[in-house]
Amino acid sequence: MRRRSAVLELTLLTVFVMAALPAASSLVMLRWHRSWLLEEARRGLLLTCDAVEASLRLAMMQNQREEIRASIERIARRTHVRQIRLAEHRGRITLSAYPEAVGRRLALDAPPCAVCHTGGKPRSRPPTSVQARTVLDSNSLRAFTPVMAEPGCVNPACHRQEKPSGVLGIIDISLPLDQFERNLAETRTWSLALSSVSVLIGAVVVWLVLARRFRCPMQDLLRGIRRVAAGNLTHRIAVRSNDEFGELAQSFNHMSEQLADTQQSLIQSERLISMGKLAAGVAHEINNPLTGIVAYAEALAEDAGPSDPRRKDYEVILREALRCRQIIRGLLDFARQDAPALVPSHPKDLIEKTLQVVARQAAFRNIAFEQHIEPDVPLIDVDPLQIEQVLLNLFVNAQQAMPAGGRIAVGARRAVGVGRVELTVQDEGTGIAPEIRSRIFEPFFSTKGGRTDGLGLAVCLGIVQRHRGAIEVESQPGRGTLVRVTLPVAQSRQAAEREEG
Amino acid sequence: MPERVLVVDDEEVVLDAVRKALRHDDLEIDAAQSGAGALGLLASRPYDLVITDLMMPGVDGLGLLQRIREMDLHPQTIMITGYPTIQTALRAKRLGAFEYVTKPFTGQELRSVVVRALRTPRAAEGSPAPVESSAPVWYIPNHAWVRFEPDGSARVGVASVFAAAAGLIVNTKVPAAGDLVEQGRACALILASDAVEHSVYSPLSGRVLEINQAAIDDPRLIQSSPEQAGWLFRLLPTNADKELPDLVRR
Repeated sequence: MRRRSAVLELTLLTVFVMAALPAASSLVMLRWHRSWLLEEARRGLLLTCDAVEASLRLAMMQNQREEIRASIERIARRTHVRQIRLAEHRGRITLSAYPEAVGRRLALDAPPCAVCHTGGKPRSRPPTSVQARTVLDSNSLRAFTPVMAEPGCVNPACHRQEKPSGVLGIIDISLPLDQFERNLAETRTWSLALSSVSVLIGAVVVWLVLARRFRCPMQDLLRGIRRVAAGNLTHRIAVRSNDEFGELAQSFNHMSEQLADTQQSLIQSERLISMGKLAAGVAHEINNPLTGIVAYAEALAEDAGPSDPRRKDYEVILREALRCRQIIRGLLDFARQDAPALVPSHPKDLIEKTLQVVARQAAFRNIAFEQHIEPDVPLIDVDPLQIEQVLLNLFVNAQQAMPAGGRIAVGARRAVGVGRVELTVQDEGTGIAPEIRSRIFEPFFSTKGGRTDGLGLAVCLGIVQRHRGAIEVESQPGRGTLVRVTLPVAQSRQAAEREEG
Repeated sequence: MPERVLVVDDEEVVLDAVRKALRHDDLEIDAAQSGAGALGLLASRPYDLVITDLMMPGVDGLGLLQRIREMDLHPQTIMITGYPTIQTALRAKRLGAFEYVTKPFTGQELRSVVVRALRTPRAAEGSPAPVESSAPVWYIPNHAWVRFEPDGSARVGVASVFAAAAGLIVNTKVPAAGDLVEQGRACALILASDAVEHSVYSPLSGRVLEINQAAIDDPRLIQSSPEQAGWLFRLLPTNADKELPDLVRR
């Protein structure tokens, strides 16, 4: 199926709404305009008709037919009036600007005669209203002025001794409407053209605006989603505006970050688990050979006399074999990954208990501890022993980064966001070089050249992950290291009770 | 007459290691590389001590222990266990094994266990003299005890049988307050006058709260009253609910 374009649809809808309403209103306006113009034309034509009657009155009184004919022919020729006729009261055309009409009869039951001639006796006083005295034909406008009898109308040549009274006849003029209609049509055409152009311009503007405001961010988002779906979690969308789309882009970026973090921690924990399994398997296999090495080295060292130079060598073999045993036991402890027995615990208690442990150790003699524990820091759901182990390992690392002594700052506070507490351990030691920062959580990764088992941070990571927490490291070489452990706030009712207590 | 020892392990090198560790002791040592082989030997002659690997193809350590019972034989038994299977070794002790030792072991570690096994009268096997006490006591049989205090902490010491078999105690090494100890793992050392160092396994996991300085200063206290005044340290158990079932309550 062809892909539909929301931008196109929106544009078309907007254009339709933009065009349809003005089109309907201008249609109404045009009709209204036409009837108004016609009304004006009726008045004008009637005025002309009255003027013609007035100008011909004297000539009619004197029965100067030639003069009248010449006048109406002149008028018809020189003005836009099409026809001027004079008809007597029974409808016979007596004079016309076009001679071929003379002698014809006007139908008395059709306008304009019908105005007076409906029913039996014709009205003696013709109507005066504009509507009654004008007639709109299919292509012309007609107006008539009644010629009323006057006291001077006694010329026998005209009226054959009858005493004339009332309406003697009419002067009837007609105006062609084709020009009028043409003008109107032109107006309609122009207004249509103008509105089409403005609608077109409007449509382009709307489309551009929509494309800029909607399509670009949408396509960015679409591209972003495709990239992320393809596994590129580092892809970020440009935040173009400070509106819903900007927010969407920000949310998307935030989501990508979270995904990347989750993936990273999954990879790490997966790696830890598989390394743990591998280590356990290796340790199991090594147990028996190592038992042999220990036994034979012991026997050799024992059998060699006190003066035998090889005795020292045997003792080295024995010592190193026992060190292997220690490494393997550390590894197995690490691989065992006990599930934490969660207890709502106060961060301050955890920190203080760990401090008590290190206080007794000679290595920490030159170390000054600073505590920054927020007074309202909530309880956390942890296995106290395991978290104390984490803190202990971090303290040991911090101490080893400051061989000449220094300050370790321990902090606990509510983390930004909800439901988490941050424990921090900060030293002013040698720091961690950026190039090894990604490896420090790997089991057996150590910069301390065999002085430690290289499991300290791996153990920390394992424990923290089993607590559904996170551990991150910020370090500036030469300035010191900050390790931040984030752990979930206690959920249980027990915790609530304790807090109340 | 030398005591007869049967060593069972599917790996030759472990059998060798045991022989080397015990070569200066006046013992007659036989070896078998499988549970089935061991049962054959056990049926043919009496043994005072059987040292067997816990994890073997075929009849394993626990199976062997059970068959020995069924054959109505009563040698002392020592289980050789890997570090991750200490819990299984504790179970073996509940089933009557005298002791266990973790691989890889030093000669010293094995010898201390063998010495105690051979010195412990088999009649007293797994049954230390009951001591009048208000609080219940849990044991790693023949080895160590733990007794809870009203505040939830627990005192740990060596069993009377252990102290008696170790001989004259001349020195002890205990963990420092604050240290973590784990159930079944060595946590303290008892040095006897015959220069044998005996590892003490902790009956429970926990954090050490206090040590019994009096007993450290005067090991005779441990000798004379191992289950009362001669306690070694007090700990705060961390996983007692899960660990107590692996102990024996008296």
